[in-house]
Amino acid sequence: MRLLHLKLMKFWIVALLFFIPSHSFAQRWRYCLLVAPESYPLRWGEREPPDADMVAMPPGLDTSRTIPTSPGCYKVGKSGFWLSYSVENAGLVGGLFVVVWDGITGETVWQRYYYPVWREGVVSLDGLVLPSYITVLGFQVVWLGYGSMFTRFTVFVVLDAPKPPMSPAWVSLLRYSCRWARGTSNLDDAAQAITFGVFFQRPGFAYPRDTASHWLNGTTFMLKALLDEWNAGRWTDGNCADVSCLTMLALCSVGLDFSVRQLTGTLLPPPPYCGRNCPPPWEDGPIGFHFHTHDICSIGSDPTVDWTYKWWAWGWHQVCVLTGAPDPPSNDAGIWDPTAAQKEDLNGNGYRNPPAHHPNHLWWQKDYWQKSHTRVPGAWLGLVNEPIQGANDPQLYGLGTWKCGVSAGSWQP
Amino acid sequence: MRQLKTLMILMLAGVIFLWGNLSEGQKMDEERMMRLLKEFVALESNELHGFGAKTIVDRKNLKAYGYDKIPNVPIRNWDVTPIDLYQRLTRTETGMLGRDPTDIFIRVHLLPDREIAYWVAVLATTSQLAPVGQPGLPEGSWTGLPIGEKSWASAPNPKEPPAPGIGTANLVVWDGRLALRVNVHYQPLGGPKARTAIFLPIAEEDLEAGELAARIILAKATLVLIGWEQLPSLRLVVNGTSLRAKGSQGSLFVPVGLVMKALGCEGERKGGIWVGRWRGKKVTFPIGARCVLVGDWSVEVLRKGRSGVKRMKGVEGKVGLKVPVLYDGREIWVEGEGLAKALGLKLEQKGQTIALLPK
Repeated sequence: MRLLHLKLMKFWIVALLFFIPSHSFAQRWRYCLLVAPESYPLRWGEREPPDADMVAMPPGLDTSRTIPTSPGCYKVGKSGFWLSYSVENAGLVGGLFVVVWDGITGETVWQRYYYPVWREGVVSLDGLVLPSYITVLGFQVVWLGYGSMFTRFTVFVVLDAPKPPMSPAWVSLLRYSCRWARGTSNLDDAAQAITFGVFFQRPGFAYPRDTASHWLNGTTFMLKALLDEWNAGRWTDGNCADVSCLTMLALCSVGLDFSVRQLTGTLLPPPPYCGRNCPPPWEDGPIGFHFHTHDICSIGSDPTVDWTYKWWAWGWHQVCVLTGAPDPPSNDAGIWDPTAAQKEDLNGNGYRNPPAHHPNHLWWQKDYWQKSHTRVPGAWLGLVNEPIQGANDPQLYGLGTWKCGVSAGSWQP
Repeated sequence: MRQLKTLMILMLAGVIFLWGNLSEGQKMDEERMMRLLKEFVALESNELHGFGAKTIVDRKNLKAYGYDKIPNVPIRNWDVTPIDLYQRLTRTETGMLGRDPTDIFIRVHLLPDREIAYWVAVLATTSQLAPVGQPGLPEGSWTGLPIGEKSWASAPNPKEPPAPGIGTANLVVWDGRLALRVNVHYQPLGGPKARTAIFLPIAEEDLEAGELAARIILAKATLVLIGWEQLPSLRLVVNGTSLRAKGSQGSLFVPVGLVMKALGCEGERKGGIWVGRWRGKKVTFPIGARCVLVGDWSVEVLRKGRSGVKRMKGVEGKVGLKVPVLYDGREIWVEGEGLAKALGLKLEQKGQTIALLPK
């Protein structure tokens, strides 16, 4: 009887706190922020200069901000989250329901109901440990008072602190890079997934026959202009410089320190002395000293069918490498080349994907460039078909190993 | 000593005042130039029939874009800030699958000097076919007619069947302080989710539309650069007809269509050119070109007809111009001297009146 009495008392007290202090029923959020731990800084990727483009921190909702809702970015496996919230025009107490789900698969990652809680306070998201892999999480916080209202924000889960020139990382690019690399938890898998992601992005890059570059202004990649096109459902042109720079930016955004590298090698003389009808019938341009590639499937085409594979006459080529990787002709650097898929890997087995160095499919620099038939009987593998490359090939070309700048400025391709 | 100190302070204040005024004046000029590019030079919606237009005018230092890091380019000082005009012309109304929407992307850079403008244009041709710092696209244009001081172009053969990589064509033009790039672009037949992006080749009429856009923009930008509005008007007498010319002797511009009409020459404007016959000879004035073509001319298609790029093959006569053939939105204008030379006439000035007379 006494227990019942106590329970009734508690009910009436909560009910009283719930209703009385409110002047109106128009409850609304003041803020709902992930105050700890600290998010990596982010940039929207919408305008220049960068200072005017920063995402306000901490992540979550703050109605006093110009853009009220901010996304966050954390390292895989992060825990110890604290949520600070405040609701206006609500009862003194209410309920707080926090759900975290995987924004790509839709699976619930964590959820908890806090009741009763004061209408302003801080709660610990005990037991919330971010996934051990790259992904995008959705956070939804529901306030249960007179009715219910919710707020949502995004958290990007990356392998490490974003690296320059994606430092701070761009939200507009993380939406792509985290989706491409979703589920990967180490450098090898993530770099391969992002290389494949760029190659198979639809709508995405389509390699132009004239092999011209479209998105580099000087040595700066015009990222916003490109992503605006994709977001509007439009395909874009892009050659190796464009494609590899975007891949590098995507890799850097998830915390992998990559650069791009321009390569060339032993070249053939200009036509007609190169032995083929150069440039090939499908190309349109001047051609000086150059090499002929194997039949490759350039970006924007389906590598599972044979008719998309063609040879090209190129004077140079740009790929992605780990920052600090040994210079060519060393074979110790891995190559990630999203520009074109190759039919066979470096063992002569069916591959039909863009080269992306991985313990399961090794794409070492020198072998990627050309692997002699003496090493895999009956097959010349790698990118270059002819001429036969020398001991010092490939060689650094032009800008060598470099990182592009990145801009949200105006641009037309 | 004190007087010297006062004098020095006064001189310093004077220098600061002068510098402040100069930079203010320069800023005003830049702002005016930006406004003119947006309001006068940029194409308006439907100026190219059926194409809507979006325009941005912007400025950014080339060094900040990392131009100084590009090898094989002999420019030492990239610390310059061009005025950039970006236009996107979009046509959505033909209803043809694979050709709609057609985008014509235009970017124009107005540089402080012609050498930097040349290299900005060359770098806009960068492709994997040639070393960076050398033109990566072949010299020519989409119609084969000259445009600017130099032009480079790429385009697939318009008669080719649909294929990957052919839904795009580029035209890069260098003229004086201007570097200009036009890109005509289609979306693939399979739509946004196609496994293989298969494109129609760019149709000849779209290439012509893109080149017309380049010619008009180049001509109008040149008008801004030569201070067209400030040039004095003069009376021009041709065959007893009184017309209006602009400029002064030495840099006098005359309206092509009106002059030719006054001379009794039949002709008309066809897209980006004015073409007519004079004394049995064809006379061609391509907007934005640094020459007048006299007599018959022909163009050839590059790569033995397997390309959409054309180049002049033969021309009976050519009269060079110091300033490209101009267009003010209504009339085509050309240097009086050039026109007189092309027609075998002479210009004579008496006071504020200029006469075009037989030699």
